[in-house]
Amino acid sequence: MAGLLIAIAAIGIGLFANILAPHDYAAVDVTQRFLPPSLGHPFGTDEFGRDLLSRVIFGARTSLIVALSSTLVGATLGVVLGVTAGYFGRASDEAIMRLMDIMLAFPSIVLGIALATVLGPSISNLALIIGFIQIPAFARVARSSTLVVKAQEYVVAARTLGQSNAGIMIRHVVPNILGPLVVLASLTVPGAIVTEAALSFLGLGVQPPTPSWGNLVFDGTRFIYSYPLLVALPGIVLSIAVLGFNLLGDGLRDVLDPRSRR
Amino acid sequence: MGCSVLVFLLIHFAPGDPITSLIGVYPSVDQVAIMRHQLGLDQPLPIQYLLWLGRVLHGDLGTSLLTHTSVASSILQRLPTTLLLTAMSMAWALLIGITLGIASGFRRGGFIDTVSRVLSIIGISVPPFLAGIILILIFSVQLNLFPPGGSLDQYGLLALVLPSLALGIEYAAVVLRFTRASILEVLEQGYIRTARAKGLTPRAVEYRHAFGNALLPVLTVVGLRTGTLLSGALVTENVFSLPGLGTLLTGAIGLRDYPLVLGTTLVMAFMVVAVNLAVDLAYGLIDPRIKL
Amino acid sequence: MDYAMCWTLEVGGDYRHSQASRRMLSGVTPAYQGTPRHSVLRVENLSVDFIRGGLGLHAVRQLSYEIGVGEAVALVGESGSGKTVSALAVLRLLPSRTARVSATSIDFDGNDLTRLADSELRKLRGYRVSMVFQDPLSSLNPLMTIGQQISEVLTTHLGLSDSQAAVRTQQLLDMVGIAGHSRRMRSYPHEFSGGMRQRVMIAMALACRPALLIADEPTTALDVTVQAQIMELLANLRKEFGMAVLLITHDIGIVAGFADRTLVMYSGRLVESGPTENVLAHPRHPYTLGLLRSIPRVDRNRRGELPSIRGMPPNPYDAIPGCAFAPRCAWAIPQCHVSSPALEAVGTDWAAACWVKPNEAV
Repeated sequence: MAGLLIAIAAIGIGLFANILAPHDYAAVDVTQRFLPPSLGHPFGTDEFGRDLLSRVIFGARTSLIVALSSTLVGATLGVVLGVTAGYFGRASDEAIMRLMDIMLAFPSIVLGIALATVLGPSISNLALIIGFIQIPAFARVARSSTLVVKAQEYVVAARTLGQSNAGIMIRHVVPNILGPLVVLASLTVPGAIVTEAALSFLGLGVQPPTPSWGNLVFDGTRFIYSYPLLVALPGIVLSIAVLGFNLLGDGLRDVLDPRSRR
Repeated sequence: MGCSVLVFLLIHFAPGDPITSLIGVYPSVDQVAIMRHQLGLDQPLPIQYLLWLGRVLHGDLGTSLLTHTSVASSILQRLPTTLLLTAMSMAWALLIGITLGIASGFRRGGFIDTVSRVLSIIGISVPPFLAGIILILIFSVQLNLFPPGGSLDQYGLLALVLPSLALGIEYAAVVLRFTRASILEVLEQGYIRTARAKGLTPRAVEYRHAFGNALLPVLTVVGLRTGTLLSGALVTENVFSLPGLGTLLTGAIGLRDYPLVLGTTLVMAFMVVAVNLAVDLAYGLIDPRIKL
Repeated sequence: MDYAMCWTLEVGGDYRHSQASRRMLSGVTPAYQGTPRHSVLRVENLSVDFIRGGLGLHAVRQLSYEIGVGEAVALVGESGSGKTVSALAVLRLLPSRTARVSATSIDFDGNDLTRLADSELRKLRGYRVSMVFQDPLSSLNPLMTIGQQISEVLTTHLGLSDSQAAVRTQQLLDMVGIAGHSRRMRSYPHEFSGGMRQRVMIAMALACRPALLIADEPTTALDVTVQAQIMELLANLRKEFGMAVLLITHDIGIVAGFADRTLVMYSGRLVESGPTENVLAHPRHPYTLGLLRSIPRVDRNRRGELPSIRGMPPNPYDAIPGCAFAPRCAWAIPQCHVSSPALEAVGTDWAAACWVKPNEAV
């Protein structure tokens, strides 16, 4: 349950960034550049004399907003497509799943880069783009779970009772496939954090001066020889957060998916 | 095929009018019309798509807006680096991942299993760009063993050691987890019980009967992960300033060189499809139930 | 004289003689140190518990039985009664992580299987005692040819070379009625029908002419006509090889005409054991009676309802103070709910574990 603690801590840090951060993350002070860690600046300062800890804390907010909202986008669209494909089968199934295969053929970052180029970089676009990338995974899981649920007697019964397809899907199918979807969501959050970081790292994500874990690491690499802490500290925080969400996902899978329990 | 439609639509809706970049910012209306006709841009969208597809199939990916050189030749020049990088990381990943996965699956709860589980969860949590930075910090900055970046021409294969490791770590962790899970699953199958009931040694049971069957799902992972691997390659190349498709692509994006961006994207998508095809072929070789 | 010829000559000879000639030819010293005795397997007080999430599941409780040399014994009971688990426990084929096996002794052919080292037990498995499983498709390795899977047994236990093993494999396939060997040997399990796969399993199990064959629901996964063929094949091979067979089945209908003796298990315990004709004609345990009455029969009850045993088997997690069958039993008396009856003789070599032991015709 270490994963749960880390995940809660990360989300808490993101939520209360403005209370927790000891300094203004954007306050430039050229007299205070590249300070080593101290009581006043526990993580030291960056090339503009900004407090690194405050930037990492606010970076958590940005990174988590993007990660969580993109997962919401991806899950919603993916579930709608997957349940539709699984429930109706035949032509709609073919069409939707082929489309998903096409999306899967693109390296996710390449797809992200192409979309980011077209849409332009901003936090909300980033969430949309990363969410878009996640659609196929959710659609696949939703579809295969729907196929199982569809054959259950309560769905057949609801159908004989003359309930509408949409009603059956919302009332009977979706609630019964939530388990695997929650597991998948908890495992896509760390993926989304990494994708956000990678896009920001490539300069296509969150634009400075707003900090995110990705662009903090990117900024730090420029001083990798002179002042490695600037890349190491945000990198470690990012890894711990990703680790936490991964552990949480594993734990949830053990609880919610009896088949994988060993 | 579907990929090409998506790429085409992306080209079409990409900001920036190709006419503007070809004949200047203030063209006359007639010039534009003539130009559009010459480029086939006055045709309906599906016709445009087919014309474009025809050119792509002939290896013509268009010309770079900035350097006015052929996109295909720039890609060909960069392709070997990316291919080598991904092949080396895949080799690392399969070597480390399958070896440790087997060791921990067959000796579940043992020392190797415990260590590999910790390693794999850490490996999965360190994205390639971060792994790259850490490796540079340790092996280039501190120990000065490998170059922190640079091309194949400069350092030969030495230039790829750290990048391929950076890229391979996460992949190895994924392969390890899948191999382990797959072995645990296979060990519960009826034919394993049969093999044990036949009086075979544990070694024969594990390697003759369990190993091949356990490897099949791992193959699927290799196919599914290729996209992720290329994504990672793209980022890793940037971390190590390797002149491959990834740096070509990010450079082209920075300069808004759309034909180059989309040509590279298409080639990468093609690589994913090619690996998946190879995986299907390998399936056919290993599993007699699958007829190709 | 080459090995193959010798084997053909051996068919019909008694097993000890063939054993000697095989030892001579293959140069393999058998692992067992068997002295002639009348029982090939004697199980005493076998119990199996499954540990899952802190709960102990009693799958087999204090099971004792004996199988004579060349004897066919049927172990009958509904699914979950512990019959398969008890057989797997004898051969140590249960997952050691979850299964806790204990027994006073398990004597197989002069070896105490409870004390035998893993490496020694391995030399007996597939050689002196073989097993045929319920579902032949999942019991065969999908990635290996039929030929490889059969000859593997021969190379492991008899030290045959690959070509010798191939010759012998052909004969084994012939023996179980699979024609067109050389092509069949290169086939994979998925290319065979269910009945053929089970024939392959039987060929594999009999490859070394074991003293005991454990057949675990060998016909359950097959359709009715194929079921009859497989049972006939087993019966013929048993006569030919003079081997003992433990037939595990939930279908008491296939027991008659095959088994010399029948054991009936309920909820992990032996409730009745005796000569098959006695047990089938005049069962002395109400559960056996129930099983027999629920078989569809042509000669009576044509319009009437097929009787079934009312109620459900007990939850194996529960501790049961009395007879496990009592809640479902029409003859139950107060004592049945309080204390558990032991097996008591009701005739020659015939016993039932029941306080009432009703004497009714089927």
